[in-house]
Amino acid sequence: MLSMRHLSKAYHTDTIKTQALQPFDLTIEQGEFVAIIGPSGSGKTTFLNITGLLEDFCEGSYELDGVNVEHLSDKAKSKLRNEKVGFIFQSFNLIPELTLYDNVDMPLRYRKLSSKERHERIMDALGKVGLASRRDHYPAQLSGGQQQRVAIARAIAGKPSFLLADEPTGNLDSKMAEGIMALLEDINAQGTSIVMVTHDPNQAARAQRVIEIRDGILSEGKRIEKAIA
Amino acid sequence: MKDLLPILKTFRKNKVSPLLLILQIALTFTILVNAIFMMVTKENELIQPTGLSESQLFSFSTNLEGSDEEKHAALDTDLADIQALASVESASTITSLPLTNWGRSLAVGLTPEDEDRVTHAGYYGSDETVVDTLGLRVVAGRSLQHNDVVHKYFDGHTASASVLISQDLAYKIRPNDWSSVVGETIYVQSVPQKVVGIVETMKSPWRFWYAYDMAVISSVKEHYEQSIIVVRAVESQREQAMSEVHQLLFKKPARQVDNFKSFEQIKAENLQADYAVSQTLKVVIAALACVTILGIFGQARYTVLKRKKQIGTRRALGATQGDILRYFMIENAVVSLLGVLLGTIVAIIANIYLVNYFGLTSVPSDYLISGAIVMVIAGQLAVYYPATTASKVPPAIATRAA
Ligand SMILES: Nc1ncnc2c1ncn2[C@@H]1O[C@H](COP(=O)(O)OP(=O)(O)OP(=O)(O)O)[C@@H](O)[C@H]1O
Ligand SMILES: [Mg+2]
Repeated sequence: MLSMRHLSKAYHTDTIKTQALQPFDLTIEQGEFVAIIGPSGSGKTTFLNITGLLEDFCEGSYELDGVNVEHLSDKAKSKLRNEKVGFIFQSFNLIPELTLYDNVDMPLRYRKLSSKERHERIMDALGKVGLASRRDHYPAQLSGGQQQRVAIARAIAGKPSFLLADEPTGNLDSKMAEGIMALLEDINAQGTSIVMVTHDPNQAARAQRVIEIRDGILSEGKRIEKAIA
Repeated sequence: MKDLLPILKTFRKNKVSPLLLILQIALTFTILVNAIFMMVTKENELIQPTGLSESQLFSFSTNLEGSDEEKHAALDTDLADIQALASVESASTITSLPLTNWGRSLAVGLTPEDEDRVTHAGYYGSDETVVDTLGLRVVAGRSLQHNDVVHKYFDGHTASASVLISQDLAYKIRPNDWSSVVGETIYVQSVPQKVVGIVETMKSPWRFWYAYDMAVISSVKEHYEQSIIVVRAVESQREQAMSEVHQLLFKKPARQVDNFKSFEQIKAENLQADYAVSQTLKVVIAALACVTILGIFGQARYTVLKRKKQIGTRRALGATQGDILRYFMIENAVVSLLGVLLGTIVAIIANIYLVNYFGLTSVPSDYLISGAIVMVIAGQLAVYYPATTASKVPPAIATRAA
């Protein structure tokens, strides 16, 4: 569970202060699938980065799975990210010099796991995205949709409670995008919460909950209780 | 060491830039180790002792005028006057001195025949005071004596009958029993000479000559128009002795004095060019080391910039700042180690070749080992700053940069 109280974010450059996010309250329950929509520059990525502890917020408080993150050290935040959060990026962010297997292995290596445990998790995650047979290939040998599947495998191998995705289908055609959406829905059905930024109204419509951000102001869109969906 | 395997795996995919760096390090390592070895060898050669009481000696040449008899008498007077000074321990006339690059070289043999020549040697004509004045050590036989000594205007070796030789020359003549050369007759330029004694060390005037260690001291006083006098001052009174001798000399009208120098001055002039080479070598070594360190530094900085997004992604997925720092340090250590390993192999192969074909001395293994350690440490220092920069890449880069 994720709970934010009076959270806000401003960027200060030499002369200009940009209020990227106005103060807001938000709770996301375990297992929810939340879509974030809004025009370009409205603050969606900022929101996602704060949620995933990639950036600090200015005011307010934030509890991630019961941990108050406000005074955590950089090291503790890294550990929390590694264990609680899985990231999926618009441009996949795979490491080109590593095979699919080693790409999925990368975040697991920052944890104290036995090599047997890591191997099982990697093969399991690659199996879930349907790419186990290509474990020794390099990212450049795959299509965009397949690369994003590897990135998803990398994100879920760590068994996070939250998956954060910033326009995961932004670089894909609609057919590949549909595959990724179906995969995310599958993962969500297993109990992992998903927060996904999207520009596609159809994708947003498939989420249980939609949050719209406009000029840094968060507002709740539709909300479907999971039981009903 | 959890990063080691993934680092090696990235090398498999991306071979060129680490390979170039490995080659650069290997090459630098080989050149540096050899250059340092050369320099040290050279400097050791420079400080090789001449066997003389260097710190007490000074010498000069002076003009002699008149008939043979008059020149002879004038030389003896000069020597006696100098000898009488309280600051002077001993003074001799001698035809040349080691390290002056000026003198005579003569063939030495066991028969008068030219084919039986054993070696060449530097030639010195002097008198019974020479051992005391130069501070030589007689290790077999005896020193020259007053009644050995003859006088001659020039080409003294044709007139003398008794000689001292250097131990290296004795060894060359009779390697299995060098001291038995005492009492033997040797032929110097086909002129028979009796060896009366052997001195431990006496060099010829030319340092780079093959027979630098071979010397013959004949018992002959040459009273040439420009005779050389060498003076040994009382311990730590050389400066005073030099000024007193100088004053004394110029009491005589029409006196000409040349090359009035302490032995250190003679030595310094002789070694000047070599010191210059040695200094140049040092500068080259330092420059090369700097270039390599800058190379490692530049390469690391470039890699960090190029991989900014990747670093951000690693941070986003849970790498701590320490993990990132460690990654770059280990990557550099692997490259450095492979580089020095390759360099060592090359150095060993090159050494075998050089030793077999050119008879050069091989670089000793402690140079290779300490060179390798220094190289790896220098690499780590060079990469530290770029690695720190890498560790400070913010994780938000992962979602921001295109
Ligand atoms: N590091 C920063 N320094 C200053 N301003 C920033 C910084 N990062 C983002 N901003 C500003 O904050 C605002 C929100 O940016 P954000 O990236 O969250 O928008 P977005 O909704 O993700 O847009 P897009 O749909 O184009 O990705 C923008 O006005 C942006 O210019
Ligand atoms: Mg964005």
